[in-house]
Amino acid sequence: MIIVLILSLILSLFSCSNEVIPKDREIYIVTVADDFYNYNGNGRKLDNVVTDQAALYMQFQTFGDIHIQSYISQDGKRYTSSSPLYVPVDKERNELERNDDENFKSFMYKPKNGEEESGWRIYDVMEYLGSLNLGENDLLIFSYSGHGEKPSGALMTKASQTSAEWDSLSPEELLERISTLGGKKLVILDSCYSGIYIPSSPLSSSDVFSSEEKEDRWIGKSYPKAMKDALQEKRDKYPYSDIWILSSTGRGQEASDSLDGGDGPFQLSYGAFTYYLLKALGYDTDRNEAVEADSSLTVYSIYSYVRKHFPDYETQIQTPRVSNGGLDLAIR
Amino acid sequence: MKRFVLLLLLVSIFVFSSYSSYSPWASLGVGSDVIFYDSNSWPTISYGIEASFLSFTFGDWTVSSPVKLESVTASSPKNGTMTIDHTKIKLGLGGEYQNKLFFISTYFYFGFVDYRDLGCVDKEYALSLTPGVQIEDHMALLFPLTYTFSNYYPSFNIQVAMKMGGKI
Repeated sequence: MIIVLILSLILSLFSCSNEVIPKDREIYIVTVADDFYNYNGNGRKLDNVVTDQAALYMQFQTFGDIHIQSYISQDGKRYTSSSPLYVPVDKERNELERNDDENFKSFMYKPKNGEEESGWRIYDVMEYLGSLNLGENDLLIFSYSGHGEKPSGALMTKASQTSAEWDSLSPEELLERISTLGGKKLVILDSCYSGIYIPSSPLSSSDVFSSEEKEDRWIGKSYPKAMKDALQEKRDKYPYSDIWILSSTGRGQEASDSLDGGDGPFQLSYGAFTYYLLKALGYDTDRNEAVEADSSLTVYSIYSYVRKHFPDYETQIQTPRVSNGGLDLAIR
Repeated sequence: MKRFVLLLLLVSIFVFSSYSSYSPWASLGVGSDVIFYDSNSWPTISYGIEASFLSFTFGDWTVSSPVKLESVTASSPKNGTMTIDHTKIKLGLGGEYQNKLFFISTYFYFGFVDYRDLGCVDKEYALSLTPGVQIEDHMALLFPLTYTFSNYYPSFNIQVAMKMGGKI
């Protein structure tokens, strides 16, 4: 009798709140891709960043009605679009009929008839972010694929297609701008040194690698050290309660623009991190197609998938990280 | 100093085993962890197993040092956010009183918490008070109440548990 009463109490506690995603949630997506095309020989061209953001955009579309703003720098041209169209192309940039054509090399942004270049700079992206008016339940996803400045991790976008200068946006500038917005925010960064964006939190003590140890492995393989750190160190509270961050690298690591992991026919067409991120989101990387699904998806389930499937040998180069703010965020 | 502590421990175990009954036990429990985070409470499901092989009984009184493994599921989402799945391993020290009808115990625990999806580790402390009823000599129905002190997930835990074991 007593057991039945206690179990009833537990069930009633859980029945108080079972709405996974707020019904009135609006999703805002901002994607930024800069391929650093023909940059006076300085700065390597990134072949896959536009494909990464195209695929992410296509998969995000399966989440329902979204508000999208895309900033694309591709083959020397810079576009801004709120309804981007991407087409599959082969390595000679010839348009293909099917996404899963064996000659698929990448997705290419296709400007609409008469569409002109916007010549956007990173400050325009910040201005757009500042103009958003997010409600308490709304979700903003900011996704960046491009170069990260050494060693600060600042986002690097070209000042113009002809200039030898680039604009850089520091982690502090980006996070402070995003923190002023309402709602919940997810920041996805596939760029070098992006681990520096992950703020300290009480759990960071066990998630930061010592100076003696190369930042080349998941913390799960160094539990004795993690326990020692948890005993000895005390960290500040996570500073951004409404921001979740997924980074493609740890601090001081470079991100790979492509990876031949033998994990599918088109793996070389995507960034090393974004490839597994897309799979975690449900995207079909073998057919280059977005897939609708009903299963629940949270930031930490996405990260957990990446941790599980990211090739061990690649973690010698980059170890994807996630912010540890205490609460998980339901995406779908 | 280390040798002295080791010697004291061995002498204590010798004295305990000479003047008491060895009484190992194990218990299985299921219930709810109410986590206090971000000015909110987050009910979760928790379940675990606890066992003590360092356990000595003097009459109606027992001193034990159990090990507890516990799993806490993610909470139901509120406004799209929820707590994280985690598991704990805890080492306890405390005492119990039992007669033919009733049981009560209090324990202090020190533990490590593994936030599985993230691969992070944290530490915590906990105090428990457990009332219960004796069903048989070697079986009791318990209602452990535990408060956990943690930088990350302070929580109040209520469980229903079955304990088996006792004086050999």
